[in-house]
Amino acid sequence: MQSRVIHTGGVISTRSRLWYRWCRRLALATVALSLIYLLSPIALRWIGGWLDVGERLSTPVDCVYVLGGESSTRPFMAAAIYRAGYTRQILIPEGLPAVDEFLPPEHQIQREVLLARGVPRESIQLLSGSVDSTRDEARILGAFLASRPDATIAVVTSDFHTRRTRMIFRKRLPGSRDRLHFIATPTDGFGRENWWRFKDGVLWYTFEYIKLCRELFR
Amino acid sequence: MASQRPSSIGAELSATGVGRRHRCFQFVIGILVTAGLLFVFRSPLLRCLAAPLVISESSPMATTMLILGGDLRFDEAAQFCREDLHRHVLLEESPRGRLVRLGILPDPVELGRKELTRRGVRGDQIDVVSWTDPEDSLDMELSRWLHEHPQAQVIVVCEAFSSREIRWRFDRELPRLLARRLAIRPLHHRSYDLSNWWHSKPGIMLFVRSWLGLILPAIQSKESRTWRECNPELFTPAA
Repeated sequence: MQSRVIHTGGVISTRSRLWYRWCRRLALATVALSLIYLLSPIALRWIGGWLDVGERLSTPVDCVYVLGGESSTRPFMAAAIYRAGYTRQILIPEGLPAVDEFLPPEHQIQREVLLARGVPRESIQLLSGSVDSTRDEARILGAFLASRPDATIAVVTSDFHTRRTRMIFRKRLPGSRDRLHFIATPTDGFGRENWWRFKDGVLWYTFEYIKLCRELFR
Repeated sequence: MASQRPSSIGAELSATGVGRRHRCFQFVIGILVTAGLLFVFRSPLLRCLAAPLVISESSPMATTMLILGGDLRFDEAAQFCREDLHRHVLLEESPRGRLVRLGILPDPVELGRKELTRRGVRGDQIDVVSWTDPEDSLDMELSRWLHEHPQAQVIVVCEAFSSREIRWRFDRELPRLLARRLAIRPLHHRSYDLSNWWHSKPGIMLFVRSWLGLILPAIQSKESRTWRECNPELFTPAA
């Protein structure tokens, strides 16, 4: 009889200990998930903001270099720089033909935007070289800088693209480090404060981190 | 007895070390074999990953073709109209972007009309489903159009990788009876398709974008995805 009581007590004690352990795990998981849920907008905003290292111009530059892509915003920023009197020349890289056969190539769109925003034709210079990546864009700017070794350049790109652009341009053009400025342009539809809510936002920000990692190991 | 104890502990420790090394070796071999298999079978695996994105439905009684995208879409629509002169093509008129408003990019409806006419489609065969208010949507307007045309059976041509996303969107946003009157016809791009999408940058982007298009609507509310254009007049480049 005595041994039976002790045995039953042992079972109860083991069960309650297991029950207590599971309750503790559940509570910890709930707290962790709640914290993730509450802090995720702050963390995601920080993750988005970290990619943006854009500067504001304090002195005029010799040229503005508009990178390809996001033609509905980047050339507008270049035109704003021109109209504010911070430059007299805008450079655009020659891009590949558009994927959609009914759309003009990127550099043609950029040129049209600049003209529409009041930049004179003679202030726009096309840098030839059929670029397909930021590294190609750095390469053809390097060729341009070989003929203008003292030129200061403001590189205009999208806000989430500035960190990688700065990394690539500094790596490819080490002698021009102090002469390059990186100007961030807001993106249509999303920004650092809400990028994770949009398909294109998630796509671009995620790809940017992947490409940034790839660039680190190149 | 006392002299034997340390050696037995040493033997145990050494056995544990050998066991750990053995497990480690097995783990590395496992990883290498998995990586090798993934590499060897990368083509079928990548094809399988993209396959769920594409859906193809037939509609033999179709009276109308709605163009939402895809390579050679106008050729497809012109062919559809040539087969039966009573058939119609439906173009989507969405809110015009900044570059279209500035006249830099062609207006999609004007472009569609021009290209279809060039391919022999009559003007009276072309219809437009228009939603120019950003608060509105294609689904709402299409629903209205289907109510107004109760006999219409519509083939929706779109980019192949977006076809599942479009099907899901119609199923989610339209009443069941209306959604069943729409059939999806995917159009593959000439430079990439299911068998080689990973070789091209646009193919990779489209693959990821299409998967996100399936996943994000399932976990987000519609209100949180309201898209807004930024205002270039507010761009301030200087300090």
